[in-house]
Amino acid sequence: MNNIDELMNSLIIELRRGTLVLSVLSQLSEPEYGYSLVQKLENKNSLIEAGTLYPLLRRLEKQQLLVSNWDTTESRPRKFYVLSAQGKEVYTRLKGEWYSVSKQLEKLLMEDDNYEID
Amino acid sequence: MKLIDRYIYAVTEHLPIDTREDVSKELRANIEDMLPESPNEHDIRAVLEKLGSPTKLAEDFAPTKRYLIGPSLYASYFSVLKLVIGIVVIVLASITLIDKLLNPSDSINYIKMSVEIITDMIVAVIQGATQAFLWVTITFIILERTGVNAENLPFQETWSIDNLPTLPIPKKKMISRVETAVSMFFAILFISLFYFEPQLIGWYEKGKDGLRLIESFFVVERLHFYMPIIILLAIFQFGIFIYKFISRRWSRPLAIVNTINNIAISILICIMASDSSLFNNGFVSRFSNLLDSSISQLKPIWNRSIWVFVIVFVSICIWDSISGFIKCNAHD
Repeated sequence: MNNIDELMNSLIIELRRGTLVLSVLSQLSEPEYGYSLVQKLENKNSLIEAGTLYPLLRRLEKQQLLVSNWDTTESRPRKFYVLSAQGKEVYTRLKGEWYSVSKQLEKLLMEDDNYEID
Repeated sequence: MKLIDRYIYAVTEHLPIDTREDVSKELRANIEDMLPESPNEHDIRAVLEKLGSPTKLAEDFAPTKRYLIGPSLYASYFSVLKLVIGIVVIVLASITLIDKLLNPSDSINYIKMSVEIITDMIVAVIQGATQAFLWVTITFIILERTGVNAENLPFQETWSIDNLPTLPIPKKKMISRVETAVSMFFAILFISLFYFEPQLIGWYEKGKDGLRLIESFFVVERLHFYMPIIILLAIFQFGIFIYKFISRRWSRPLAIVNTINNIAISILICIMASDSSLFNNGFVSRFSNLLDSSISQLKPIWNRSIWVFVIVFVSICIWDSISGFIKCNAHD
């Protein structure tokens, strides 16, 4: 039993990993800093570990999907990230990809459900 | 606050310097954001635990590979390492032994002499094995960094069905590992001889206690002048050997690199051949004694033979380069 739980855990992590980039890109049409993004995603029930998100933001910036800016006007300096032009394009295309993948998958899973009912 | 500093340090200490400061600044801001107003130690601990292991975080932050030789090259690395170190040990042990037997120390005490020979052999073997280890490892690190592995050969065009390696590898395209190992053996022998005991190449005469070295072929001091470039070419040559050993087949990039190597060696040989101060005059005069002619008579013949050697050598290089291209285009 324990074994199945462990396996499930790693499978869920793997499944989520693919959606991470898309979730992050979807929330960055307006500038956000690390923690505000964690909260924003948390509020929308999209759980992402802070320890996963912070490095991811930097990686996306390096891939030129995000641009960053240090805001030093507030009492605490914060690094804000926002989609770049390239990031916007990638996001739109990735979103389209996601819709088609989820539609295909839904079809597959529905078929399976119907089969079980029969 | 101490805890936060320690955590940030643990994450960033292994990051490249140019990103370290920015990452720490950002991480600190994020941690402070996650903390409530005037946090106590308990709050800090909770936040840091939420962020997870600093080693794991550092790995995610790191822009580059955090290993020297990855799993795809690991097996080849070990087989090449064993092969090269094996060859080096045998070659250096034999060279040292031969050197000692030909130039025995004056001591008549055989036990002392044997101890001396064995010590020298061990020292030479350890030195050589260390060098071999170093260079093989460096070569593989370079292969790893440039993204070469057994399946993914360098400079390859995008994958297509036509580019799939044919099975079995066409015989004409194949580079046998034995052949590569034998070439490596001779290259190591040659380089070790040149590097450690160049005076051993020379004129020997049978004396009352066996063969005696009379005159060296090279002027050793002059030869040292060429040593850096010889070593450089040897390392390059070794990169090629190791690559051949892994890929086991001829390919266009390999043929090109092989040609470059052959051209470089040929140029070096030509330069060395035209440097008359490189050759020991004593060696030449031994020849003239043997042939019963004067040095002035022998000199042109001597020069001619050196150039004959050069021409033969360069021809072999040219043939080797061409055959590389022929083999990479070969189909059975």
